[in-house]
Amino acid sequence: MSGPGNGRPEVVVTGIGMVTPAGADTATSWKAVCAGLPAAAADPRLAGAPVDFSCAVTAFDAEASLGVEARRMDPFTQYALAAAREAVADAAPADGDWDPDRVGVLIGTAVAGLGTWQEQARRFAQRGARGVNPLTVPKAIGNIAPATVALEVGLRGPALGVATACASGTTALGLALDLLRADRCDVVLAGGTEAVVSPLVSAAFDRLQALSRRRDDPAGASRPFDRRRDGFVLGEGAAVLVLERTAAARARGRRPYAALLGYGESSDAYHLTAPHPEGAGARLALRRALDDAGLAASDVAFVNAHATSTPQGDAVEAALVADLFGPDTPVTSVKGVTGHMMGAAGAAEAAFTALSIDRGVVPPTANFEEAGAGVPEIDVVHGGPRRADLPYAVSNSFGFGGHNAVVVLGRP
Amino acid sequence: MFIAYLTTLLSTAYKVPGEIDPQKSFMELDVDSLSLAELGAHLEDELGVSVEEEELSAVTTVAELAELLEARGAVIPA
Repeated sequence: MSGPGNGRPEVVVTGIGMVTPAGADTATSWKAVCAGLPAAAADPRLAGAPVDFSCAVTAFDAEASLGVEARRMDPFTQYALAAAREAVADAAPADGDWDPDRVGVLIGTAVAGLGTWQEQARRFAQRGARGVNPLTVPKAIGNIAPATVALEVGLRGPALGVATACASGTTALGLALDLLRADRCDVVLAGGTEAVVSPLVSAAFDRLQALSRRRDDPAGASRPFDRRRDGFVLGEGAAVLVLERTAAARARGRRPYAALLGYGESSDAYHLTAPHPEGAGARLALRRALDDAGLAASDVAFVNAHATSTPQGDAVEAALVADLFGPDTPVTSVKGVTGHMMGAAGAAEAAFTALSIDRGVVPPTANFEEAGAGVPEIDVVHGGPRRADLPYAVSNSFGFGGHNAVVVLGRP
Repeated sequence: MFIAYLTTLLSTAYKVPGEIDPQKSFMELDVDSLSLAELGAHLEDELGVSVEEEELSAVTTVAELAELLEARGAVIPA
């Protein structure tokens, strides 16, 4: 360790854009997350599915936000583009501040355009090949969110899709950090997106016993770390962060929200869907992220947890947090409000972490009442937002397949 | 009737700028092949007529397409 950043060029967050179940923009989402208002509710799209509620994006009008071109985009691309536009507007570069050839776009997704495939499969079954829309492939493929952002915003650096399941958004941030440190880009729009709330996906996750079945109380269903948690709630949305080197942000007079100080990743190499019981892979990713940032675990003032409200996942993460950071480090999971935004989750949570650092506020874990069912006593912030001085924070993401990704953020 | 329907569609959904001369081909109006494929599928969905790829190509004019829709008995949805 040689101190924060290990002497490399510091990278900062200068713009944030979001479309989440908590709101169609960053300000609305942040406010709802701080208020601890769960977004989960019965979802008409899931009528008849075994689990018929979700954390849905409800306040977003694609055509009003994106114009007629929105029809050519699957919702996962619509969310990503809206978030990217908000993030760029927020970063507010003046004409000539950014060389478009040197701006990259990295946007992760776990599943991509499944809804488009489902709709076209239905049409194919009814009408044969002629029923299939010619835009099916360019709407549904996994890289099309970053490609569309590059096209619509006019950015000619690398545009990459990233797929590490529910860690995708965080992986995108880590790879963006690499591109900026290596001077392969001046600016990167990095984030994640997901839009797969459908009866098929609900059924598929339910068959894995991964979803909460609290049908009589959807608002109480996503309850990370709580003793009575019984699974996650399907969420959707996108988040995009504008990342650039500190010197460039300073030169154009933009005050950053936070610095992106480090990234760590690992693979469990243990099981297709279950986390390693001792969190060995997650620990390795956390260690690597802290080493990358040049920090010790004791420097970390806040953990933005992955905790999705599943019995096993939350217990493993809580035990790891207790062991690495001690029982007194504030921990929160915004998924009590947003549900599990899957490929978008890591980006949204890193964005919320940046806002926590900027504002000195840790949002509460909605629905948390008491630890238990394998979750040890840790300081889960609940009941309301907490004021705190946050020099350094980590944001964890884990995905099916054993992907672990962690970012370290700090005061710029 | 179909000329007005098509020119409105081209102006709004396909962002063809200015007043549209129906004697112009889709190539002259800068409507690309992806848009033409999408337009063909849209006409089938909305008007209930089949339009083959060779009937809706870059050299087809808006007026020719309108004639074809009329001849096929297309119905503009209310």
